[in-house]
Amino acid sequence: MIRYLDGLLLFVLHQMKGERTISGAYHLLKGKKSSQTIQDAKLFGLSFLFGMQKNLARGQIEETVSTLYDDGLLEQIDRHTYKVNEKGQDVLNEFLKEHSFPEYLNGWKYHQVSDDFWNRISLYMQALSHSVNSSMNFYPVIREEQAQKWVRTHFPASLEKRKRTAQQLYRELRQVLEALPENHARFFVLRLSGFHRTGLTVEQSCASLDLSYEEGIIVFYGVIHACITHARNDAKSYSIITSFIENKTLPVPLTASTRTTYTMLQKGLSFQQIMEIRRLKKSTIEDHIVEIAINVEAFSIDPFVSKRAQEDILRASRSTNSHRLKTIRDHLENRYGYFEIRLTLCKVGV
Amino acid sequence: MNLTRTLIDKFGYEEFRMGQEEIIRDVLEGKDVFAMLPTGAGKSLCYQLPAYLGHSPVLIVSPLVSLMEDQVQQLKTKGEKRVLALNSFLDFEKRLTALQNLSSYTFIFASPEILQNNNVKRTLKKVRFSLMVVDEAHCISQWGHDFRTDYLKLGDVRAELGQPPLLALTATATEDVRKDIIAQLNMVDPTLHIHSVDRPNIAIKLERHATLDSKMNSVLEYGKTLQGPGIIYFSSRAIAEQVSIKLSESGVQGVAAYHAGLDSESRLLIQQQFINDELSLICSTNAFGMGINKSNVRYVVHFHPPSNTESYLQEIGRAGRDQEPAIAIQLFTEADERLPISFIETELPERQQISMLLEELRVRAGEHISLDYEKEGIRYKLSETAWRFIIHHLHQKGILLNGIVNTFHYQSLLEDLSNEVERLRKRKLLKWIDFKKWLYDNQCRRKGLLERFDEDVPKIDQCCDYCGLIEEVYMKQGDSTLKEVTAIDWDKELQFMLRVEEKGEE
Repeated sequence: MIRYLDGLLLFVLHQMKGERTISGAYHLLKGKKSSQTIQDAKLFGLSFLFGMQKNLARGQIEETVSTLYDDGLLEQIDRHTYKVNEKGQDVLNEFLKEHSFPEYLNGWKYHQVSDDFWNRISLYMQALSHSVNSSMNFYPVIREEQAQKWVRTHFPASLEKRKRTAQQLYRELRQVLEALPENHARFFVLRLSGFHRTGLTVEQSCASLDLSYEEGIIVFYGVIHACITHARNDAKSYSIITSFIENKTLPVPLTASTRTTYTMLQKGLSFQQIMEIRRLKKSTIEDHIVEIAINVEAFSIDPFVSKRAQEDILRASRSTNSHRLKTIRDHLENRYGYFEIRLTLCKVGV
Repeated sequence: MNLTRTLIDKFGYEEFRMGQEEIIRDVLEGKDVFAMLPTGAGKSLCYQLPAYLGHSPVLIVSPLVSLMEDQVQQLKTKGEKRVLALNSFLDFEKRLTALQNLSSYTFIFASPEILQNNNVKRTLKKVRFSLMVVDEAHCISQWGHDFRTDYLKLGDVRAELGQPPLLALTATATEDVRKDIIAQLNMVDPTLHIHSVDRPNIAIKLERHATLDSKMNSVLEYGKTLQGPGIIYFSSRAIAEQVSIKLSESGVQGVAAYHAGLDSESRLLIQQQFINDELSLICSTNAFGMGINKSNVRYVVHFHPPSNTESYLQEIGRAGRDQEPAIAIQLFTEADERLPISFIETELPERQQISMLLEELRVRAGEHISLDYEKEGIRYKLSETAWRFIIHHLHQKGILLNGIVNTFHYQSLLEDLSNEVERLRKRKLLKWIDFKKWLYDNQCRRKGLLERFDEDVPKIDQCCDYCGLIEEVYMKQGDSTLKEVTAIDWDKELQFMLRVEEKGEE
């Protein structure tokens, strides 16, 4: 049986169809906030894995690829580009049967709130557990100032209220956890600290459930994302969990420079004007626009690509069964530029 | 004045530990006090108790951010809210509000670096401190094992604050270091409280091995058989990890590795697990231990030798703070002798690095340069210690003034600095050679250590392997008492944590 990281990478490479180098896969799993990575994530249906292996080392990924290659699961396309072959697909299917991805996992969508959510819930839980068990002396497991301040201001004042809050928090967590695989729920609860014990580190929880670190971290985020999803869909029933993501309105996740371009576009400046004012290259602004198109649902690409072009490009992508820009451009006999193709593909998501 | 009453009310202790009461009385009389108390003797009480008797506010200078945060957290845990830690990690706005309300704090902790900040200094001057404390005061001495250049300016800082009474605290300082501390801090006629560095309840064992393999087998054996909680020190992260994994695999419960490569959440959790007896053994680099308050550590094993006697004493001093029997075991092979030397080498700047830096400064004369290590120091591939060392000497020679580079004679400055580095290197090497000599000496281990502090050795049972030692005392007696947490039912666990009735629903 292959290791979790092998299977994970096989999945990513399979989604990328041999159209991206292994660096592309690496940046995606590390969560690099560049236009290219973010576009790739969307284009290849990999957004949910964005940043879900932050501790991955480049050496690890290279070693994993060479193992997969040696085992005959990959076909080499280019020096750093690999495609999953038929045998690889069989192995991948087996792998996914054993290790399906957590249902609510959504790395890109929640990447700005996940860690804050965890800081708040683990500190809140520790404080609440101590106080309902009448021992208020404890050493906080989260040092982060913002989280400490948040818990201080949101902690119920009276013991009566704390007891009710504890009941409510229990009900909310049970509601979320009981719908998840048993070992995912256990992983999450093991990591929490209470009056009777200190929470486990990710590595320790992995060891106790016999999971590799790579799988453990995905299981862990899967539970956090389940909590966030429930809270966002039904704030009433999950009032306490919802409070852990309050003031954390999901801002449209744009990189800083892209945000500036976006603001200028909203003010009605044209592509050309932005280029001149910001003294940026055409290709850079193009990257920004693609990034905006991916992340802002209401953003229309029509001013940049005609409706007709969009239809042609989508048809070409379907008939060539490819996301590769060059293939599509060739198929359309160079009628449209790379920018138009890229923009169309990412907006529709194909 | 009834000190014991305050001790019971505020700290919950029935009686003072050795030395504390005398020190506190002198502090309360407003004297300058130099106190050397062994690790674990309760140094912080010596300024905390006076604060509760009206000697407040207190300014405490502490060398390490982690140490400072631990002390702050411990005070907060005891319910003390008027605590502030001023260090560069405090974000700008928070620092601003804190500075505006300085007078509302009882305990103000500060790093020596932050005390160089003009803004901070100006505000501190408005506060009338009843006491200034210099913790880990040996850091002020070049001859100490842990020299911090920023500590040298504390004498000036004290003068600027209106010369408040000063309490200098350290666990280990040889005679020359003591004199240096007193001079550098401009202490006037200080009362000295020098207590023995000896910890009679810690047995000492030296164990020499011919090969790394046999040393490795030995450390694994100790990990399996010694009664915890214990700490094994390594000078490499990789070996610490490796031993921790091997021990876990061989069935030892509650082992974890600890080093600077872990993220801060994991470090904090592991620390807490250890303190709460949820772990029995930490395999660690020397990143672990500073500021950790745990009284029942039963053994400290060194897999590699530290580079001087003071560090060694500080590290073994984490054992047996409850005064119950504990053991310190130093393992070594001949090959280990290179480690401290290469550590000293990499820590100090090389002549070529100094010349590179000076060449650039020469061109930038008249310019303003950043003293920030991350911005500037790193460019010359200097260690942080080396960078601070050079900056300190440039200040002293007047070449750096308010961040502006003055013109200088390149060649003579290069010679000067190289000589300074050479002097420091020699000091450090001598300290290592002195400790190494102890590793090979054929005499009572305790006598060897105490000699270095001009102390006589008392007669004790269970002294050291040279005097004869019954090691069974330190071995595991029965089964582990660690709580097994892994096989939990998550639902029951949550109910238990939150004290919810079985039915869950109302």
